[in-house]
This record gives sequence, C-alpha cells and structure tokens, in this order.
Amino acid sequence: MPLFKREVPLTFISIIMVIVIFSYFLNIPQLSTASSVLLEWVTIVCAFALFMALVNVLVTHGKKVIDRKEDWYYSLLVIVPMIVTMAVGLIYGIGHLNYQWIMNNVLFAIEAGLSGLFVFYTLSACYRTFSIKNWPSALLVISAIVAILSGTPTGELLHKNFSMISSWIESYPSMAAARGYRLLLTMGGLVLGIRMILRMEKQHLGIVEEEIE
Amino acid sequence: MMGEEQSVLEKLATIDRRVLYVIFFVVLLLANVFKFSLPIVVHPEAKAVYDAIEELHEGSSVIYSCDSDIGGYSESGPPQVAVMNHLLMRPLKIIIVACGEPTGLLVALNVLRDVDQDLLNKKEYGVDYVLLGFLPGEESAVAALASTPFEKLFPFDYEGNILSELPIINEVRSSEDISLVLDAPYGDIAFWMRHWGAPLEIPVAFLMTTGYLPAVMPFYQSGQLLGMVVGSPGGAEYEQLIGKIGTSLQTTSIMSVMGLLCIACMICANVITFFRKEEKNKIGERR
Amino acid sequence: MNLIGDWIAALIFIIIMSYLFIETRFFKAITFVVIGVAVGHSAVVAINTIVSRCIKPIAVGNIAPIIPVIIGLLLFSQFSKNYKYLGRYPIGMIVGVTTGVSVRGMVETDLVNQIIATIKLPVNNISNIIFIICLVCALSTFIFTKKLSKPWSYAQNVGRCTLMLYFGWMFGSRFFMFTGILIDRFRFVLSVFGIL
Repeated sequence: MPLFKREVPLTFISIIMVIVIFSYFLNIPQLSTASSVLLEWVTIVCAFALFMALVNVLVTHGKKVIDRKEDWYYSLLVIVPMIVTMAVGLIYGIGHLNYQWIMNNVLFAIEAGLSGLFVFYTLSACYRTFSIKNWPSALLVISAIVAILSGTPTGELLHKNFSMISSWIESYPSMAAARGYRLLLTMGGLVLGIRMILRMEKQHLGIVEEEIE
Repeated sequence: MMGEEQSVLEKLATIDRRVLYVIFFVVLLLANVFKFSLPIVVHPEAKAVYDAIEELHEGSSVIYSCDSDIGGYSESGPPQVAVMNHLLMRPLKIIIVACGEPTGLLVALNVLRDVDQDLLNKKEYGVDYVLLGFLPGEESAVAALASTPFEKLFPFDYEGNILSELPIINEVRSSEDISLVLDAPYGDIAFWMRHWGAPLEIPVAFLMTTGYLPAVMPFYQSGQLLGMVVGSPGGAEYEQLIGKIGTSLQTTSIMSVMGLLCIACMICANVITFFRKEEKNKIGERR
Repeated sequence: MNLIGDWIAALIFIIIMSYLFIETRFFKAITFVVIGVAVGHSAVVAINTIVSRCIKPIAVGNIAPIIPVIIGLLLFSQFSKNYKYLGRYPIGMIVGVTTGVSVRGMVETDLVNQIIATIKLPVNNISNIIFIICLVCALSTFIFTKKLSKPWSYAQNVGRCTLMLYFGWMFGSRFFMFTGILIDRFRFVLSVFGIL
C-alpha cells in the first residue's frame, strides 16, 4: 500500500500545516477551531513520543543486557536508574522530597558537572589556539576579550569609558551579524515550511526514494 | 642563552594540558576561598523587567515559564529566584508552567525552594500562585497555551489537584487574563515572543543564561523583548534592585576572575606565538 | 538523607573532574546513569500527562481525547516490520503542527519586525549607518558562500569581520555560562568538604 506508506502521510502533513498557518492569517472561525484542536492534540501525541523514549531505551539497552553484548553492564546502569526514577516519581510524585533528592543529587549534579568540564577545555583551547594570525582572528580575539570584560564588573573597574566601548561593539557590528544570522535562519525555516507543504521534504518521515513497497 | 629561551618557549607552547588544568583549579579555589565582591552596575535590560513588574496593578496575572534545563540551573537559577522573589513581594497572581524541557518542571520546583520562604508562606498555593506542570510540545505547547483555556490543557496541576477547584483559575483562565510573560528559555528560543508577544501584544521578558545573550539581543533592540535578566550577573543586579542580596554577587565576582584568567590565556597564546615566530625568523636568517 | 545526597553529589563532581586527568570507568558509568535518570524523568512526566489528559477524562466518559490517544499509540508501530509506516502519522502530526506554528510565528517576529527595526533606524547617526552596512555585508557573506570578484569581495570581507566580532561576543557569553555553572558546583563541593 504505497499510498498509505508515502502519499497519505505527506499529504497529511501538508493539510495540517495549511490549517495551522492559514488559521493565523485568515479570520475563518472553522480554521481557528481546527487549529486549536490540532494544537491540543499534538501536546498529547508529544507526551506519547516522550514515553517512546523510555521504550526505545529499554529495548536498545535491554537487548544488550539479555544478549550479554560487550559492556552490557553499562546498559544496566541505564536501565536500573531509569526504573528507580520512574518508580519513585510515579509512587511519590514529582514534588516529593524523595524524587527531588534523586533529581538534585544525581541528575542536576551530573549535568552541571559535565557542563563545568567545558570551562577547562575552553581555557586550554584559549591558551593553545587563540593566537592572532590575520585580521578576522584579531577581531575575534578582541571581541572575545571585550565580551568577557563587559560581562562582569571588571571592565568598569579597568576604565570608566569601557562600558561605552563594549556596548557600542555589542549594539552595532555584533548585533548586525546577529540580526543577519536570525534573518537567514528565518528564511531557511520558511523555505523548509514551504517545501513541507509542497510535499518535497520526506527525510523526517524516513521515506527514501527507492522505498520498496 | 638562545638555546635556553627556545626550550622555555617550546616548553610553554607544548605544556601538558593537565598542568594547565591544575593551575585553573588553583585559581578557582583561591577565588572561592578569598571572598570578595565587585560593585555591580545595573543594566537597562534588567531595570526594564524590574519596572514592568513594579508597574503591574494589584491582582494582575503573570505567567512564568520555566523552559530551561536543570543542568544550567546554577547559571539560570539566580535571575529566576530574584525575579520570583520580586513577584512574591507584589500582590500578583502567578501561573507557573514548563513548556520546553521536561526538566523545566524541576527548575520551577527548585526556584520555589530557593526563594525567600517568608515571602512564599505569605502567599497561598492555589489562590496566589499555581504550578500547572509540564506541557509537552515546546513551541506547539506555547502556541496551545495562547489559544486554549488553561483548564483544558491542565485538568490537574503538577500535584494532581483538580485545577477547576483552585480559586486562582477563576481569575486567570487563559492568555486574555495575563499581563506579563516571564520566560526562562532554553537557548535563544523565541517561542513566547512569537505566540504571545506579537499576536497577543503581551510584554515578554527573558530570565536566561549568559550564553544566549548575543542571539537574543536583536529582539531587545527591536523592542519585541521588554527586558532580560541574564545569568548570575543579571541575578546580582536584580538582587540589588529588590534589596535581597544572595549568592549571585559572589558568583559574579569569581566569574570576573575566571574571565581574567581566560584573557591571560589568550595573551599567553599570542605572546608565545609571537616570540616563537621571532626565533624561527632569526634561525632562518642565520641559515 | 540530605548529608548523604550532598556527599553523593560532591563525589559525582569529583569523578567528572577527574576525567580531565584520566578517563575512568566511574566517569563512563556516570554518563550512562544520567541517560537513565533523564529518560526516567521524561517518562514520569509523559505518564502524568497521559493519565491526566487522556485516561482520567476517558474514564469519566469524556471521549474527546480518544483520537490523539490513537494517533499517539501509532508511534509504537515502529516495532512491527509490516506496520512500521503507521508511525509516520503521529510523527507527521508533530512535525506538521510544530513547523506550521513556527512558520506562522517566524514571519512576524523573526522576519518582518526585525526588518522594520532595521529600516526605522535613523540614518543621521554614523553608528546606525555602520550597523546597516555590517548587516548587508554579513548577509552577503552568508548568502554568497563562494568568493566573489572585486569590488563585491570587499562586502564579503567586511561581512566576515562582522561575523568574527559576533563570534567573539558569543564565545565570551558562552564561556561565562559554563563558568557560572562550574563556580556554583565548585562552591557546593567546597562547602560539603567544610572548606567554605
């Protein structure tokens, strides 16, 4: 049934996008209602997608444990904390002290620690690679130094006019690049949206051109 | 002499990264142990958020969305706690949601844990403030909140209380009752500006980490964003404005030291490269 | 319980920092544990949403959520070889709605309002003129990826310099973001060890 495998899903996406986009720009009550209903429904479907993450992790790592593949015990370190977290969360609730204990002392501690590693890598990279070779790299280094000094009170202490210089660099040339980047990102997003409405984008559904029926 | 300079330069250029890490740790330790604080200058972006909250009438409603990740709470938490303290000082209705990351709900709970408990205890849950919970969908969730009554999307709050039984929902039913949006975004995401700021003309302010400031500045400059309280420095500024000094000031001061360390590394990189080049040129000339 | 939790968190920080010097099995173990806990939390949140928005209303006779429940359940078809394609419908719905909502919001906020803000800049100010020139040059650098011939290559060079200023600013900001996180955790560990 190539129709239901390929054509119907692509048309489904196009229709949904047309409803959602045109309900915003046209004052048609039926379109607005349809769009509101779709937005409500998608929050439920996204909850199922979040739940799928659990199922996928269980299947992937569960297979490794059952088949005793290489380093299978690391997969146990995924499954056991996952089940414990779920059990505590569902039995006690998210606001309970037991659940908060796991979240703050395990999840937050690990994620924050991993983020903190980047500081050392960055400092090491600054020491080894931030040398000025040409005009663009000079501007990069100068801008980085200005951003670092302006981000904290240090700049103000160094020179009373420093904040004026740093805010000029941030408000004019840097902001121009930021705005240009944002405009192009938006145009890329709009082009992607139009391609999806015209059924030209297929990769997100896993449809390949040589799909076997 | 020349041979010694060369070996010193070469040694400095190829120094083991672990030696560098030890030096960085020592600097960080000393900065923490020898407590000091630098004077804070309040930026107009943070002042704008403060003024907006001060100017809200009694009984106005604010929606506060914790979209950030728990891993960044150390940096995004201080501005959120400072602003929440301010909200609790004022006679406002506060709706707290999480629409971005699932861990945003944990961030919201951490903020409620870290605010001034005397201020929080003066408010009643379900009457003055409510934590609705997490709504999956990111941008779709924000758009759904803009066009649907809250009760339809959250039949129960995060604790399982029936929302229709909480008095606050009789006064704050949907986006029409909201006067201000405070968003703690994950990245430079403009969801709330797109679906609440532009179409509904509700002012939007960000409580965010420092990392995404450059990407968000164009929105502030164009007037689409009311203001921003950015990272620990922003938290320190806001604490100064509301008169409740927390740990942000010390964090900001230590950040200054780390910033100077970063600049020192960059200067070292360039000095070493320059002198190595000089040496190579001199060796080349001699040959 | 709090004391045990603090010591566990401090130990986790030390294990993570030890990765700077030597890779250990403990660090690798931690990277797997965080996946498990994060997915567990996502599942708890998802189950709470499904129960409160679908199961409880259906149990009291409100059949409105049945259609999104059916669409959501189609996601599980990916485990079947013959019916895997059914998973394209819920994915299509999520992608379609999210992209549609993004597109309709982007037009006004990210495109039109940004262009209006640029056009409204008064040109009697030299800084604004520099801003507009830098913006046009930055756009040309992004759009024309191949090096252009003179005199258009000057615009690309100015654009490249503008981008370097922006990247330097981004670097400084990102550095501070991670530094703030590190300082807080380091201070926490020092307080657990009684140094602070």
